[in-house]
Amino acid sequence: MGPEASSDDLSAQDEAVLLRVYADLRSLAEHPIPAVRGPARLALAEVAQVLNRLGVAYELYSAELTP
Amino acid sequence: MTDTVTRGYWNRAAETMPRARLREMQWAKLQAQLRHVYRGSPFHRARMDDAGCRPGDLTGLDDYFSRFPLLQRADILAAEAAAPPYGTLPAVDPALAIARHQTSGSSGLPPVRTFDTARDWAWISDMFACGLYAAGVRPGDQVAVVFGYGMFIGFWAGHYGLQRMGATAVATGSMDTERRIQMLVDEDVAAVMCTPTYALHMAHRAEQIGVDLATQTHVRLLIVTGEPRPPRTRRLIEQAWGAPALEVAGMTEAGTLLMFECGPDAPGMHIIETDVIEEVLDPGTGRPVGHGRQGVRVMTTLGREGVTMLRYWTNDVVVRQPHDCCACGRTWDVYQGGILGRADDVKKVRGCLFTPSMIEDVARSFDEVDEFQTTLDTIGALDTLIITFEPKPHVTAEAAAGVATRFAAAVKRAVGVTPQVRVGDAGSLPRFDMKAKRFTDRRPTAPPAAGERVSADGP
Repeated sequence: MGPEASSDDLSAQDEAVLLRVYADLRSLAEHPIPAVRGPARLALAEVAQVLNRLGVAYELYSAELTP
Repeated sequence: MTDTVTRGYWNRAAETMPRARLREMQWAKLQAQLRHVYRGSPFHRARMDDAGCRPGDLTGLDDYFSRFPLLQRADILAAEAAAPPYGTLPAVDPALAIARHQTSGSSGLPPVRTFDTARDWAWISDMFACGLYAAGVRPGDQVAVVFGYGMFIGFWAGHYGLQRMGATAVATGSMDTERRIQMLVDEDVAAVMCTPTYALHMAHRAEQIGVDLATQTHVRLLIVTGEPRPPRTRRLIEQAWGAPALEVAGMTEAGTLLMFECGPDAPGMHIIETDVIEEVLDPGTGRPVGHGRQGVRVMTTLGREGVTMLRYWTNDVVVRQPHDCCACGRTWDVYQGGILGRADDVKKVRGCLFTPSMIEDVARSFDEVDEFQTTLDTIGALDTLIITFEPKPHVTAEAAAGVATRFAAAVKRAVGVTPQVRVGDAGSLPRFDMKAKRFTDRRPTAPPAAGERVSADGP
């Protein structure tokens, strides 16, 4: 017998929210204000990993960012 | 010992994905990874050009397995030497890094250096969170991270994996062993992450200062990694702590853990196959060995954009089994018994093959043995196995001599060769908090040591 399920599957609505958040954060990742750009990049990475773990999207985007 | 492990999935959809869907995902991720490194990494681009394996050239995973060149540690070191510190491997600008790591160099070879972007770091900590959750760590748990917090990646990823999950990472880097034990007595720490050697070391020290870890602490789980955990070593740890010692494993070259045990009754470690493609090859022929046969694991990482490993020859010896050998419900295959050793750890003496962990397993079967060292030397043109052990303080000289005789006989049964077993003076052998080194090959023709697995360096 397997372990209990820790959560239900991702709903289509959840997936759409995650993709929207990802797109929003991606747009902030080049923001001129360092106090916005830095945290946006960290948050972007976290959301990208959620999408990756769930098999929704697999983005290797950092090469497109300005160092 | 009761089963104190809480079962569950970090991400049920990923962990129970049908195998056919899993393979499709691997191929999709691999294609994206190949496009990424071809565009950004001069090292990988040259190798792909030379092999005729440019993005689009490959038709599927089987084509990748049959044609893509194997990557050796020496290739990485050569690339790093040509353009230090990271060589020509990175596929993104190192200026985008938020962390830098390197292997400890304890093997005597130059360290492998890597860095991680924010994207990499999210993947790395998520991999650890996946393994820790499967092992039974939960949000709200306090977990003692026994680790030096230096350049070696060790438990850095574990620390962040705990935070990612919502558990409390208790960084014990600056504490000595007694202070760590006292903290476990005083506070509600649910789990400890350390090497097997250090788990035993803490148990011995606790006994010396009159602390029963099994009854005087709240620790219900140990997460051990970085070294082999032979069966008897595991038993000793679990007896002393009154808690299961579950194993996770990864590599510095990957930046994180790649496999984990899902419970005390697990037949081995599940491979996180959504994020790493693992092959098991015959070291002689380079051909796949199939399930149930021993071989060397070759890994392809699917989550790191800075430094990517494509068909990296790890030297780890494993036996892969189908996922359904474990009853947990995951569809991720299993390395039976975990990492069994390293291909370059296998020693041959008088026609008999053995690994240092086989000697450790024998040593741990003797309650009278406190510490030991094994040396392979050439004496009178004959390869000779020499084991020196320190008996525990209560063992008399006469009893120690008897142990030496029985120890030699047990090694003969396990390895096939009779060693010289010597009784050492109290305190004469080195002790280890981390990365135990209990084997030395002094033969004139001894091959050099090779790569390292993820571990925790000293505090």
